[in-house]
Amino acid sequence: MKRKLINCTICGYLLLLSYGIVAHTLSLGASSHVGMYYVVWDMFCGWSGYEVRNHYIAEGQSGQFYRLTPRPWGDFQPFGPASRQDYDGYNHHSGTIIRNILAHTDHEPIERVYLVEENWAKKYNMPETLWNYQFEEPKQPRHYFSVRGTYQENGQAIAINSPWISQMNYQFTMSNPKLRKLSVQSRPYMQVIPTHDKPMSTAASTNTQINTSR
Amino acid sequence: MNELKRRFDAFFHQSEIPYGIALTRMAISIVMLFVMGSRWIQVREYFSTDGAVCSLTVHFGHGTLLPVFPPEIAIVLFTVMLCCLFTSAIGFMTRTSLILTTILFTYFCLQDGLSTITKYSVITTHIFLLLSMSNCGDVWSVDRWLLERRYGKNSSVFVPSASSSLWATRLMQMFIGIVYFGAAITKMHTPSFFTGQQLRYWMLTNVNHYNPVGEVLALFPAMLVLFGYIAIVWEVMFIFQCWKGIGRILSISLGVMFHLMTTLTLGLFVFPAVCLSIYFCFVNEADVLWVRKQCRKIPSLLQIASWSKSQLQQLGQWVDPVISHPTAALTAFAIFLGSSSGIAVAAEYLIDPYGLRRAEGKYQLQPLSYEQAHRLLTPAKKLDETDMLMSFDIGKYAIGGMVTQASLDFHHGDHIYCQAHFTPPHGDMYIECNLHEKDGPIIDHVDSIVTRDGDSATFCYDLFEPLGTGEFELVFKGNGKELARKTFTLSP
Repeated sequence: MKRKLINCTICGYLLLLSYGIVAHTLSLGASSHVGMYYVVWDMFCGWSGYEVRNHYIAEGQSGQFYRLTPRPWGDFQPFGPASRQDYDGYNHHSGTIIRNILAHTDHEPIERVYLVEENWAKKYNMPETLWNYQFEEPKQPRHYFSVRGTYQENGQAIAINSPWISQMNYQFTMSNPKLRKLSVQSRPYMQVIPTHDKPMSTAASTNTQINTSR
Repeated sequence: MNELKRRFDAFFHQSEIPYGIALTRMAISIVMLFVMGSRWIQVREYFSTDGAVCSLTVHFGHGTLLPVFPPEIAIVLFTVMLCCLFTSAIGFMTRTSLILTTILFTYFCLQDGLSTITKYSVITTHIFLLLSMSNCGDVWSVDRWLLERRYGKNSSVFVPSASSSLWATRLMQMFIGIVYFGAAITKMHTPSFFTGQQLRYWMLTNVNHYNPVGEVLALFPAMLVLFGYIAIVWEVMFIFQCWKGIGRILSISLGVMFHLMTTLTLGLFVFPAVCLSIYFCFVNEADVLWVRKQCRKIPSLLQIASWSKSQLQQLGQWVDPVISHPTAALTAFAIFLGSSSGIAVAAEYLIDPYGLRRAEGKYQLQPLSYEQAHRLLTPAKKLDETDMLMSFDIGKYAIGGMVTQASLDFHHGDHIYCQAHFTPPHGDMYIECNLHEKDGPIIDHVDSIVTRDGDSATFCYDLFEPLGTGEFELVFKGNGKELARKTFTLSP
């Protein structure tokens, strides 16, 4: 009986791992469920040529701006020089992070919180000696800032923008006048994006957001 | 069918002393004790209702699927997990420790989708699951030592043989092979992996730790292409070759090298430590006997072994009266977990991570000057052409389509390759590569178009004798703007 149970465990486990490989290879529901994260091995799947960091900036009622990150009680860098919020590439947790920092700090009433994305080309990560070997030009890194999202004090999203890289991609593609015209014609003024965020002050089950990504 | 069953049994149910997974148990528990231990002070913020829980389930559209506990309970559970990692490492209450570790480790990893869960924690979860079903505590463990102290080493009635079925070890070995296979599939899905472009970005990324070798290698894309092919062939072959003979030695040696190189080139520390810990499951009885035989030839090691034995004997005399009680180990385990959790809750209260009970009061938000705020909030509308260029290389040779820049000295009759690599995104670009005398007028001009999906452009010049000798320059332009310049020397 024990041997049969072990054999079933072996077969079941190998089937599960094989399912992950097949789903990943054929891109068939590879991210359909959180369980797939445990059987799909997509490590280091596509890295951008730009380094990205996220900054949270709050605007008080007085008009004074404040820095929310690094957190006032000390930064935590889990895997290297990047902070926790820098790993939120899809901007899923901004509201939670904002609420938590504001709830545990002393500040004037806050009007808006901005999530600012900072990008720079990874070639500028080269140390000076290697840069001089590769380039005759002096190293003059450019940092590109872009407002990724605007939030209320309670973390509720007011506006969400595309990542800066997507904006640039869009800009280059839209240099085609025919595509630009079609895009403008089909663009809705308002858009409802259902999210799992529970609004703090309303009972609505969806967040209404003005789409500023285009 | 019978032959298949016989082979299946011979492979999975072969009986052996589980030295390999005992080593894996110790190594991976110690690694995770450090990894998760460094997050202990963050428990209130990352894993409790008094913080910012960023669950992985949200990424998959399930909302917060798992319950979030109040801070005190989260701290107790996290501390229990750390204690269980410690007891798993030493092999005390091994199976219970590993089951508790598997459950709590999976829970905490899922609760922090930003800074705790990564693929190495997923791999570790699988390993803890397999370890908790295995007999890894039957050897080199406190449990074994206690059993032998209690009933005597030679009491075959009470002390079972350490030999057991290898099925969990086999699953672990197959698991690591399947992970590599899946990683190879990922690379096959990433076309720019084979051009060296992806590897270059990995080497230059600063989200992991310091990686000086990676930054140097990023200058030699041809070498990266070669390493990329070796890595993918090894990843695909591993599961088929890792079982015996020369294939086993080669696969595992290459694996060790590969993971150590990821530390130097990508700045990864935990990932290689996890994978190398799993490699211990390939250690078998014969390997252990061979190592023992070699160690016996070293007198200093023999002295250490005999000293350790005598110390254990002395310690045994102390614990003998206590371990005679059948529930002694369970009671000690419960006291250890309970007292550690109590101390942890008190310590966390005193540390006060948010600084709420400081004499100065809560922390204040740091004000930003108007200029700083203006800089951050002003959107960058345009991408500069200079940033679209990743590199501009010249050289006599091209390997795997990548120009290698061994020297900037050329001779009459040489072919010279000029190659520009572009960083996406970029638009359609008109590009030129102009040959100049040093600080002089244009001698030759080549131009082309790079479409928005192009990632490189290569030009070729023949350095004929009429050019003369001396210093020359190759100037690369994009959309009419000079982006890079290379000076080289031409001699007869």
